[in-house]
Amino acid sequence: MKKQKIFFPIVLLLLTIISGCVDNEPNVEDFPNEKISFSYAVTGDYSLDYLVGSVIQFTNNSQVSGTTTWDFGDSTPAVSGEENPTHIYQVAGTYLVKLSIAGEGTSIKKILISDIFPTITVGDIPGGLCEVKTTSIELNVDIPNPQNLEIEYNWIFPEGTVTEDGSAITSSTQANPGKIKFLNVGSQKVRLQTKLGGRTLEEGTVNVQVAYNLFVKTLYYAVKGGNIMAYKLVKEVPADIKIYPFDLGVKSGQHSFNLLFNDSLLYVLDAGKQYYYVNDVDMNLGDGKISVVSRDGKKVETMLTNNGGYAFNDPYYGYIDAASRTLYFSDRNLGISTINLDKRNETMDAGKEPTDRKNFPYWVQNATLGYYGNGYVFGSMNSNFMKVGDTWWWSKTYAGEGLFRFKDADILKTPITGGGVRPASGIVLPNMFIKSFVVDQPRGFVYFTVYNASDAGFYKVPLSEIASILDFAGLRVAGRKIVELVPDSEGSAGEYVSVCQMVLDAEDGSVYFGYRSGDPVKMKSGLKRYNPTTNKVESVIDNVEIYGVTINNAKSKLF
Amino acid sequence: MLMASLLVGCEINDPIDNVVRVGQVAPHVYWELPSSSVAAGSSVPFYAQYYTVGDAKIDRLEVWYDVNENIQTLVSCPLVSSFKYSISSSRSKLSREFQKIAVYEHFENNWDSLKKAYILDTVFPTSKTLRTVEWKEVKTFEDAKFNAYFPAGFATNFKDSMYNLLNVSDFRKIMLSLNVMTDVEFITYTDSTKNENTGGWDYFIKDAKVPELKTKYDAILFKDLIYDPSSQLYQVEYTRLYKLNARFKAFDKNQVVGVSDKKEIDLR
Repeated sequence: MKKQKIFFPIVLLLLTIISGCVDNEPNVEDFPNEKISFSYAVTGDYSLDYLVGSVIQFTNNSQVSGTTTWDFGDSTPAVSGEENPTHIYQVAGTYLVKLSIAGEGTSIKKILISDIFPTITVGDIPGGLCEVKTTSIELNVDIPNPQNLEIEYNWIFPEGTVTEDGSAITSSTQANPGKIKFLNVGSQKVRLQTKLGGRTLEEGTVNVQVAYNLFVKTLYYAVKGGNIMAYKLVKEVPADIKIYPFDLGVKSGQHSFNLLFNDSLLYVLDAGKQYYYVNDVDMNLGDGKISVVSRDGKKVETMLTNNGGYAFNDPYYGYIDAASRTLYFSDRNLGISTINLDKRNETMDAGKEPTDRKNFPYWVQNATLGYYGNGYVFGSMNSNFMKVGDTWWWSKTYAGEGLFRFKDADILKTPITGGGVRPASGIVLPNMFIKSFVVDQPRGFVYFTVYNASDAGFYKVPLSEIASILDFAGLRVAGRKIVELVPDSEGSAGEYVSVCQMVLDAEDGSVYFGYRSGDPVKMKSGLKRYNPTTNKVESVIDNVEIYGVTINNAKSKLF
Repeated sequence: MLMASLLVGCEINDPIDNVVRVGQVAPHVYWELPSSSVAAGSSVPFYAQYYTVGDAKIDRLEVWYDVNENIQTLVSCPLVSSFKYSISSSRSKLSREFQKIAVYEHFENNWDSLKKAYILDTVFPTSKTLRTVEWKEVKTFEDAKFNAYFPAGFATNFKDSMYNLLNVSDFRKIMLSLNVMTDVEFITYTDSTKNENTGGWDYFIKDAKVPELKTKYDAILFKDLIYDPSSQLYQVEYTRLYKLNARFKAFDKNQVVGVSDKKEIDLR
C-alpha cells in the first residue's frame, strides 16, 4: 500500500513530463549541444577589430559530424553544407551566430562587429608640449578600409583654432587639414566626420591637450557621472586666452567624494554605487575602490578594491600624510584605516564581520575615541577629515554631528562601549552638518560648508574663534557666512553628499569646491572659488556637477 | 545515493571526463595586472608566473578574453517643474565570445629560481574599436546621432509618456517657454474650481480644449522639449563602454591547460 502511494504520483509526474502536444516540441536540431562548437576569427588585417567589411572565418570544432547549417544572424540566407565558411558583415552590431548540425543540435555564439571610424592622433610635437598660441601641430588620421572604398572628410575645429599663419579655421574637407594652432588652453576637441563609400561613419575625435604658456598649479575634479578633469589655475587670465578644462579620459567612478594628490599621482576614492544605508546582510554589496591616476590620465592603477565586500567598507574620504607615505581612508560610519601609497591591487577582504577588516584594520574607530557615547554614538556617519598640526579633525554628520578633534595619543587600544573621556582637543561646530571643511593654518582661518537648511552656506571663521561657536546663534555672527548655498538633495538624512570636498590653495588662500546646486537661480552648479581678496565665492566653471577636488601644487604648463 | 547517480558516467555522457583528465595535473598559473583600466587600442601590461609539477614541459602561453558592452542612456525634460521627468537605462551584455587573443612562446630561461616559477612580463593587445563612445553635454542636437544611439520610436514614447503626467503648470511652462502660445492664450485653455479644503483654486485643462492642446503638444519637436535654456545644453546622454574579462592560460606539451583567475579590464 505504501509502495503504491509513492508509485502513483511518480508515474503521474513522469506522464506529465513526457506528455506534450506536437506543436510544442522543438526540433531536435534546435537543442543546444555541448558537443557542437565553433570559433571565429578575422582573416587578414585588423584581426582584433572585427570591422564592418572584414572577412570573418568561422571554424567548426564540433565533436559530432553531419550536415552543417550556418546562420550568421544578420538576415543573410543561412549557408548549408559548408564546414568552415567565411562571412562579411555590412552593418555594425552584435549578432547571434548559430551552427546547426543535422540530427545533433546547435551552438549559438555572439559576435560583435564594430563600425569603422577614423582614429585621429596628434603628430610629433617638438618638446612634446602643445603650447597655447605658439605650437603648431599636425593631425594624423587612420581609417581602416578593408574594402578600399572612397573616403570623404569633414574636420570640425573648436573655437580658437587657427592655421599656422593665424587665420581662423572652423572646418576643412581635406584629408590633411594642415598645421593648426590653438588660442585656448585645455582639451581642444577636434572632430572628424567621414564617409566611406558614401556611408557615414561614426565620428572620430581627438582631445588636443593645449598647455598654458606659464607655469601654474593644476586643479583636478571628479565630474558626477563623467570623467576626471584638470584645470589650470590661472589667476589673471589674459584677455586673448580662454582657460578650459582638460578631459583626462578617465572615468570618475560612481561616487568619487574625495580626490587626493601626492607627488605626481592622483588618488581617487570612489565610494561605489551604494554609499548610503542598505541592509547588506550578505556583506557583498561593496564595489568601491581607490584608483591611482597619473597626472596626465594616461595610466590608471588600482590601489584597493572592495568588490563583493561589505558595502560600508568602501573608501569614502581620505587624507595623505606624504612624510609617512600613508593614505588614511574612512569607511561609511565606523572608522579610518591606512594604506601605504605604494600599494597596488589590494583587496578589502572584510572577514565575517564588518569590523573584521582583515587586510586593513581600523587605525581609529568611533569606539576607540573617548567621544563614543559621549559626543557621538555607534555608527556616527563619517565625512571629511584632515590633520591640522598634530591634531586630527574628523567630521561627523549623523548620530553626533560636528568636527571631532583628537591626537594620535587619544586613540584607545581597545574599543569601548561608552564612559570614555573626551579628548582634550574637543568638538567644534557641535550639532552642525559639516560635510566638508579645510583649515588654512598659516592665515588662521577655517572654511566649511553647513548643510542645515536655515543656515546652509559657505563659512569662514578665524581659527582662534572656531571653538567658541557652540550653536547656530554663534554661526550667525555677521561676516561668518560668505554665501548662502542650497546644495542638491542627493543622498539621505545624515549623509547628504552636499559639498563633499574642499581644497585650499595655500599660496594665496583661495578655497575651491564643487557645488551641485539645489537652486540654480540662486547659484548654478559648478566649480567654485572662494577669493580671499574679494571675500566672495565666485564661479570658475559653470554647469558641471562635481564631487571631489584636489590641487597639484607643482607648477607646470600642462600637468 | 543521489550524488552517486549524478556522477555515474557512460560512453556518451561522462561529466567528469568532459572537464578533467584524471591523473593529469595542469600547469599552475598566477597573473597580475597593474591596471584594470586602459585606453582602447593600448596594450594591457601583465605579469604572470607559471610552472608545472609533472613531467610535461610547458608548450605555450595564451591570453583569452571576451568583450562585454554596457550602454547607458539618459534623457530628461528640464521644462517641467512639478516633477522630474527623465528616462534612463543601463544595459550590459556579452558581445563577443571568449577567444584567444595572444600567444606567447615559452622559454626555459623564463625560469626565476627565487620565485621557483617561470615569469612572463609582457602585454596583450586591445582593439581601438572598443573605445568609449559618449554623447554628452550636447550643445547642438544632431538627428543622425540621436537616431544612431536611441531606438526607433524613443522620442515619440518619451513625449507620449510625459504628456500623461503633465499638470496645468507644466503645460503652461512648456507652452510659454517654447513660444507655442502666450500666457493670455494659455488661460483660454484652462478653468478652475474652488478648493474648499485649501481655500485656493484648482486649475485644469478644459475638456473641450484637450484635443487642441494635445495637437499643439504633439507639434513640439522632441529636441525642444529636452533643451535646457539655463545650461544651453540638450538633456540627452549616451555612453557606450566595453569591458574585457581576461584569463591567462599555460599549456603543457600534453595540451593540458592551467587557467588563471578572471581579470576585468575597463576600456576607455
